[in-house]
Amino acid sequence: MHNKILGKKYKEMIVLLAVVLVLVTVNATHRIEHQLRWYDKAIVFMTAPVQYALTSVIQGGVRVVDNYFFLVDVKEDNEYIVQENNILKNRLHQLQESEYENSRLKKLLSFRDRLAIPMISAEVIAKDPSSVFKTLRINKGEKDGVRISMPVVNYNGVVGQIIRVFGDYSDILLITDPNSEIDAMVQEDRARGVIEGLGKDNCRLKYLERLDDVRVGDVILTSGMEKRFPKGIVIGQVVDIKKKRFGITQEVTIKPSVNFNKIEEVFVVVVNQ
Amino acid sequence: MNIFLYVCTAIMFIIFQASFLNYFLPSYLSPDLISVFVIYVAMTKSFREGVLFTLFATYMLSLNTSVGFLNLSLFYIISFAVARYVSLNFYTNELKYLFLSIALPILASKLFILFWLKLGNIIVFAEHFLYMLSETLITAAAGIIIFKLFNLIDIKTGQINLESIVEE
Repeated sequence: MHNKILGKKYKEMIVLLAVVLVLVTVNATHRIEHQLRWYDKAIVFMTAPVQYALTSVIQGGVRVVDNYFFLVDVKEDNEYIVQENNILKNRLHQLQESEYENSRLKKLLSFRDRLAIPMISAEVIAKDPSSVFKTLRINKGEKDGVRISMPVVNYNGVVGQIIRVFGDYSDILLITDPNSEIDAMVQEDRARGVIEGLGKDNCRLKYLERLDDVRVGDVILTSGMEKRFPKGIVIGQVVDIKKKRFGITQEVTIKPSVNFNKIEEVFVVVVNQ
Repeated sequence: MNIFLYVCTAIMFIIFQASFLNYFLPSYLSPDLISVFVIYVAMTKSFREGVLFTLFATYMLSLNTSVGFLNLSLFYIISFAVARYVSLNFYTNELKYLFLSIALPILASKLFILFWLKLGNIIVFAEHFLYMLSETLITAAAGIIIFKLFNLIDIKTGQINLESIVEE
């Protein structure tokens, strides 16, 4: 009797796994960016404010401890200088980028024009609950003009792109997520490839030809080829290169310029869809 | 616990994980609360109820991550199936059993994710595996406490407890 029950349960389990497997295969052909249904939005509408409140309380608590109990002025000055430094670094990279472009007589937007790109500032209210996949939820959504596929940056460089939009909230797919792919290029060599997330803190640059002269420390920028990310935004730096004796490509590991563990504020770049 | 409490627990686990745990802890030191939830329902609820709760938790999670509902459901159904198999065949009342019965399904599911992602090169895979191992052990340790708490609530409210699954 006991064996019969167990046998029935295993059969149920096998059928369940088979059904899910078939559905996954069907689902695999779809893109990640999908339109949300009304009940998806309703659930996020109810749960996101709790996430927001919880994160605000935590961040508020951490700030109180940081700012009032330890070196109020020094902390503020330091934060200002670090932020200023990051902005200057980013400007420097973009200026270098402009020089490269000018030298090849391309007619592109000037640095000032780039800064004039309209952006929506947003706060991070929650992070991905899973360990391999990397998304962030922000407190700006459809009502604020955020749309699917819009690029997201901060002072340090590329953060990711919008994959889901709710009324007041949206989700960002970080460049470190294994589902993320961005067209990129090496600033010095101009070699082009695709940045893919590795599910940890690093990314890899795919499809870089084996003969491309890439070195550790080289800066990786958005190429602007896919018409999503504006050209010349810093993605990260090369930290490791592996060239095999055979094959036509090389494996390049990138450390993103953005520290995703400490990210609190981001800018959604408003681009024409 | 009744259905309402299970639903609330799943939602609170996701919110807590996304807003609190991931704010303070790196992912490899943060327990995977949804896995704990799935393993608990696999071990204590009937097959159909367990699957429904698992799919509900998975759906809620899919609204907070980059993976679609169907793919996520496969990962958690693997956890569910392994937890169910372990609880049906090797149940004892020892702490080490409980630890292993939480750790094994999580490990199985996460290994599947790694293979599914095809994180090709062996170094990346090895790094991920270390992270995953750390997360699994921490989740199993946290799971013991959560299981005891759940079981206590179940006993108090006269609901099913850990032993009942074997007698089913």
